[in-house]
Amino acid sequence: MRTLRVNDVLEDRILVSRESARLLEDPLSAIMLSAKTPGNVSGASPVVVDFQGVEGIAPSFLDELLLIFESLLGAEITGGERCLIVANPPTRLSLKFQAIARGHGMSVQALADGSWSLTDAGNSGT
Amino acid sequence: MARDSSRPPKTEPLCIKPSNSFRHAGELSALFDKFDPRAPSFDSPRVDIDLRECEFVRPPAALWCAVYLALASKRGSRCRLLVPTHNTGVCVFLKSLGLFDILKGRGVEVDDRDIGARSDPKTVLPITHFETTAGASDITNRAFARLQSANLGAANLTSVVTELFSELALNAAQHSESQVGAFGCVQFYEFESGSRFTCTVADGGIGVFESLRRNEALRSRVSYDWDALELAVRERVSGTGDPHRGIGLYGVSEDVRRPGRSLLLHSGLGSLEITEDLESSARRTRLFPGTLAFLSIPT
Repeated sequence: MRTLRVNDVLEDRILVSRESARLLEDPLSAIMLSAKTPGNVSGASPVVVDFQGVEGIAPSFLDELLLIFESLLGAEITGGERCLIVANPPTRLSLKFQAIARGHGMSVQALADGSWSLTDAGNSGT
Repeated sequence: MARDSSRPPKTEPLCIKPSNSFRHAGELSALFDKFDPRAPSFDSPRVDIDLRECEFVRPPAALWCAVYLALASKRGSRCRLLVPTHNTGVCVFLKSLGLFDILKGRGVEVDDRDIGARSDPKTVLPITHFETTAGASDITNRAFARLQSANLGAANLTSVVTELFSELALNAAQHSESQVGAFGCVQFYEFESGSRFTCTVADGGIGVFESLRRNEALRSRVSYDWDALELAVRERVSGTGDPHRGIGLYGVSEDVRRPGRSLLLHSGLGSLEITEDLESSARRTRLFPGTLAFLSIPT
């Protein structure tokens, strides 16, 4: 798994806007490209976005992050499964974040270590 | 000189005098509903908001003053805020909240002579003007930094307060189309019943009703300001028509359905209150020329 540390890119402690989420597009793209190996050409292994050091995220920010994730994965994932891990989420997994995942055809669940696992709806991810 | 007969004469000066305990615009007289400073017909040469007898002014009322006078001033009215006369504590509070400076910066007369501002740790974020999503992000992070340094309330509430505030601020920046931008403030209060954070965001924009009507699919579902508010807090309801939008206000409304929390939305002639009881109560009320959101969270 490859990890993007949000704090390395964004300085704000509370991540609010879609515009700030867009700043993660290039580094996320680089990580997803680097995850591609001869045996895994789609690079569809879980991508980890680590929010260590972030103190809060607004729904708009997460929604835009998922849009970026979807667009980067895009057509490459034919028959594969999408999986995004949100490590060290700064907030509880509330209904609004579940609603955001639903909007992208994904489901989200909290893992034992507190991370959130976002996977294609219908696939529990565990 | 002959008067232009195509233009009606200027209307009378407008003086709005709230009750002594002024909590929000819903308490104003119905007489003022027809004086909407956003309306093309608004033509008052002078607007006074008279707080001289006020003993108590809450942040939603203070932000109504900011929005109303900013709009009227932009329309060319000569505007004046008459500050509390006898209760200097209220006057100091409003000055510390930043109301007077916000208004003076928009050409409103405020005679606050000999009233000093206090450095109040309970003012987490004074009334602050913003217009863009970047501005909403900036004031949210300023509020967060202030909450951390002031060590107010439980540590785990810091993120809750700032996340909820950020969504309200984002909504105003993205959807209001306000000619005077938006204003936000965050306060910490200690009451006998316990301490609370309050977040208030207000704009002088088109209102929730008009915003939802921008979405053709919703146009037939809203007829009034109050039923627009009921619809706006549902999941994925947005004036944009974008299927990924419409989570912000829904998320805030879900997060306030917890013990002691409450949310008041006031837009045009409608208001909606949500509390922990999973009940939301929309009603017809007095005019707010734009949209106001007031959030209260026990610490």
